[in-house]
Amino acid sequence: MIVDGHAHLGKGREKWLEPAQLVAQMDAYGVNKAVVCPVEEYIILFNRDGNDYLQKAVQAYPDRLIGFASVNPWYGASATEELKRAIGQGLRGLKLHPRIQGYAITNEIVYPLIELAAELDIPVYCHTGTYVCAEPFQLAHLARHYPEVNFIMGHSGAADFWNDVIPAARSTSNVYLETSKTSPVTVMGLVSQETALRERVVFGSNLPTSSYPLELAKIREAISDDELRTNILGKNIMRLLKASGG
Amino acid sequence: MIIDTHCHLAMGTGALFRDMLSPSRLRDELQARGVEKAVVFTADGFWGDCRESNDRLAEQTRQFRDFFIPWATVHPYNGQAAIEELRRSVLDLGMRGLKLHSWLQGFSVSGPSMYTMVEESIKLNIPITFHDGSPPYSSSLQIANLAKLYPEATIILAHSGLREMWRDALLAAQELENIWLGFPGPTLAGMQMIVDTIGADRIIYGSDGGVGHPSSISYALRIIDELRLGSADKAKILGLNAARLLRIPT
Repeated sequence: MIVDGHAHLGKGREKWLEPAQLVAQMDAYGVNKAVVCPVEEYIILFNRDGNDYLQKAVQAYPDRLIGFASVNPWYGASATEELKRAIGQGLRGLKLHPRIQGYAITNEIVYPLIELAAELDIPVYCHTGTYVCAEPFQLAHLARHYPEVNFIMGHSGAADFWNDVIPAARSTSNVYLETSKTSPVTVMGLVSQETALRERVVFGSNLPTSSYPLELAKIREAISDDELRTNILGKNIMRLLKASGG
Repeated sequence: MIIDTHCHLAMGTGALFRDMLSPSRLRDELQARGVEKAVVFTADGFWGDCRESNDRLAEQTRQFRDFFIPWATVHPYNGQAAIEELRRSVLDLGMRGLKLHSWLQGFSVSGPSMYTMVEESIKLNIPITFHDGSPPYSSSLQIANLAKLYPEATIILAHSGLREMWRDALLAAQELENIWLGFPGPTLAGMQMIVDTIGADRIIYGSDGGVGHPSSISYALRIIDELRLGSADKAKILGLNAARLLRIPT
């Protein structure tokens, strides 16, 4: 079973992907399920619209799509209310994007949302790879502060934090590493025997900014061991989702 | 004709970059994927003694001179000695360009030592490739300012701003005709926006091959293949533009 740990749905400034288009792509390349989150302005401003759009997509394809809601922590109490509402509607995780939402992931404005994620028993996906606000060690610090919450390090710090990603993840026990935007060489490093992170690496496509042929070939070429590849292409994320209340 | 404008060979110190490919292995892996020529830079020679690094790269590529095109590196903070070393590398060792990695080498591109270096590159008629996309020393617009100050210089932003700064790299290339962009670097969607905006004439393919497993070379070629572009434009990106830039007959 192949599960895409990170794709986007909706029409934003530069990203545009409809549910039926995504499912057609999944069918074409043997992807069984995909974790989806909103795009751009729906992550930043129009959280409720973005989450409603996802909820409808999940309703249309309940066996194929797993929705992660996005709310902007700057909305304060409205953000926690909206997250509660979206999870109540059937979404399964929280997506944060410090660069476009406008804060550093270590900032205390995210705490209420992480505390709510703990209460709701949902994982938190966080974009990483941006200097100052979304670096691997910054996410790791937050993750150590909330050991009861599982975090997914979006893009594993790509492009520039390839030196930090392994030690940052190892400083935690609750940070998973998502593969989109990384190079095959980085993926090889993440699963190399000595890092003991093999259970925590999850495949992600970042569609529509990349493609399944490209992202799947990266994993297949980087990882020759069948069992390991199967885990990264789907089992690890399903175990994480199951552990988080699903 | 595929020309890879961005590969690395190691001195063999084992520092920072592990699992580097040997010169013969790198050539074999590139040739197996249809690459006819490759520009090569040092990897672990960006720090330490640049003269030694340039000598080593020249020696490593000597027996493959029809295939590899070695480029020098220097450290601009070494002042006149760096200028001398660049001249020696080009005029005595036959190197065809300058590769600078201001992030890894730890120098600012905004100052007199860098300006002198660009002036020398103009005299020697060689392009300069910069690692770009990485603050605080390798932001795309920091480097692009050199192209603005020196319209006769040829400045290559090796990674088109990488995953986070490609919009800046695109702005630089729109503003300045003497900026060239290396692919891949941005997300696939980012590269598509770049070619849709400025066309394919100043885009050059570079895999970053040699650093780690050769699957990175296959991956880079597959990215170019995935772009929604006509075959003529893909041929430009994969080799014809680099041939024009490096005056290689096609």
